Amino acid sequence: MPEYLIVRCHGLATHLLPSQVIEGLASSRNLQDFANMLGPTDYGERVRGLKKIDAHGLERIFNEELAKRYRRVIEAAPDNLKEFLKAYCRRLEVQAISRILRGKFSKSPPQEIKRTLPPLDGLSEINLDKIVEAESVEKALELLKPSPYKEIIGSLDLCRKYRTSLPLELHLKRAYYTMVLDALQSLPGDDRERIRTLLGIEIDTANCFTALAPFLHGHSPELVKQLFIPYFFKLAPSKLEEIAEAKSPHTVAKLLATYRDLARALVEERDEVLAETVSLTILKKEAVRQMVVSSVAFTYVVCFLILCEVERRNLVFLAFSLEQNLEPKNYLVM
Amino acid sequence: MAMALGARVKPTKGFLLQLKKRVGFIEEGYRLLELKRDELANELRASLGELAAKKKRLEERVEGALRNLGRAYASLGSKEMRSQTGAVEKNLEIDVLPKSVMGIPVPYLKVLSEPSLVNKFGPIARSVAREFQELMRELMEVAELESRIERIADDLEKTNRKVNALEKIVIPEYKRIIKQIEDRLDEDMLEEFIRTKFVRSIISGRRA
Repeated sequence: MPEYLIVRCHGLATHLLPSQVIEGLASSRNLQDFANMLGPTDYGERVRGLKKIDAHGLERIFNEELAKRYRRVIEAAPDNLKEFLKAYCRRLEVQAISRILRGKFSKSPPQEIKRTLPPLDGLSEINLDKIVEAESVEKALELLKPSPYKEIIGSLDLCRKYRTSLPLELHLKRAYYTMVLDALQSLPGDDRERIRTLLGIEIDTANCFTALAPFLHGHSPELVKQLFIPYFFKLAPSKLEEIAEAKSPHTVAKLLATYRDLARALVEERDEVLAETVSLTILKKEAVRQMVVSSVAFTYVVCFLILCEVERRNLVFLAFSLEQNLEPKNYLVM
Repeated sequence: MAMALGARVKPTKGFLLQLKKRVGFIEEGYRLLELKRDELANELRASLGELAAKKKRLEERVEGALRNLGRAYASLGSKEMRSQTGAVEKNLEIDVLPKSVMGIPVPYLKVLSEPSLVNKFGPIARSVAREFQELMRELMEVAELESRIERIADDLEKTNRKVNALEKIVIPEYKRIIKQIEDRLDEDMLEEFIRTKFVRSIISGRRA
């Protein structure tokens, strides 16, 4: 029964930090102050358990809390929705595999690769340790054959041709979205469309960053055209290809009119962190809107997960900004 | 009374001519060294100005790059950043070669290979990587300029010492020796004249 899951998520959503609290955290004088302010929240107990308050320790706690929230939602889900939620939450597994393959491609030692992995306890069905220990990227890909990511092996030639692990990483994302969108088919019609919209925003903005790589950083347009996630929401493939070929800021701004704020951050300000903030803000706004209109539908659960991800991102950003004395306010997803 | 001259100094006309020729040559060298010293001082002044401007620009860029790195770090998280930076090719190879500036060997840096950033990195990390690569190039330019200034300053000091030695010691010493030889030769000539006069008066006394 999805009702229990939805009600549970309404309860869990009260644990999310409101915007005023995030703004208050952004005004902290230092990390200790920040940690003290986190005291009464879900993070408080583990923050108090830290021997030394530093951004890395706090980041670990925020990452673990996100994984914990994913697990809680999956556990509370009925069987017919569990599959979709499991597929959705595999984004952490994708992140981990992406880092493993990047490490394997650049021949980093396994110990070094292990240090880059996010906490996945119970969220992955793949034996990642075995992949980390694989002798080469080819062997690592062999080990991925029984997983939903088996198709990415096809991008190895592109990696060799352009001497980069980027095709593997982006094809992994492609495989992830294929899996999630396939799982989406099992959901009722209304939820399916609403969740597709949310995923569509994510995919569009990811494709946007990829398409602008030749204009901003001189990446090969031919390579970039092969790296798009082939599910398009508001940005058609032809438009993305035009962006990949674009030479002037004016053309890019015109082609990206749908995501005007994102285009401004990327093309005028040339600030990719700001662009990431803008893209997450677009997603968060849509999630908050959907939470209101679908407060008793399964969509609410996915929106809750999105807000959990945004909260983690804001908290990690604040922790490192405070540690490095940077002004975080323009870069918070509000 | 003849003045005491050094053992290697011969109070002869031939030696005097040789010495005068040598002094002329030394004075010519002194003038050239003086020109070199002035040129080196000008070059040093210009290089110091250039270094100050470059350092100021570099400091501003370092500040900006560190701020952007901090933001990228905060945005991507430490693990993602560690993973991305770990994947950078470690192939920065630099050769230090000599180059001559007014006869002074100064080092210049030749980049044999550097990590390629084209088609590498995901969003955010690639901007920072690019910024740091440009920063690295600027840093090398500044290092090259600093080293050049150091060498020029060294050479200027040596040249200055040579000029001073020539001006205050070598040339005056030679001139003193020339003066001594000339005095000695004058004395010898006078002695010879008086001797001749004596001999002539003795001869004319005998005839009478």
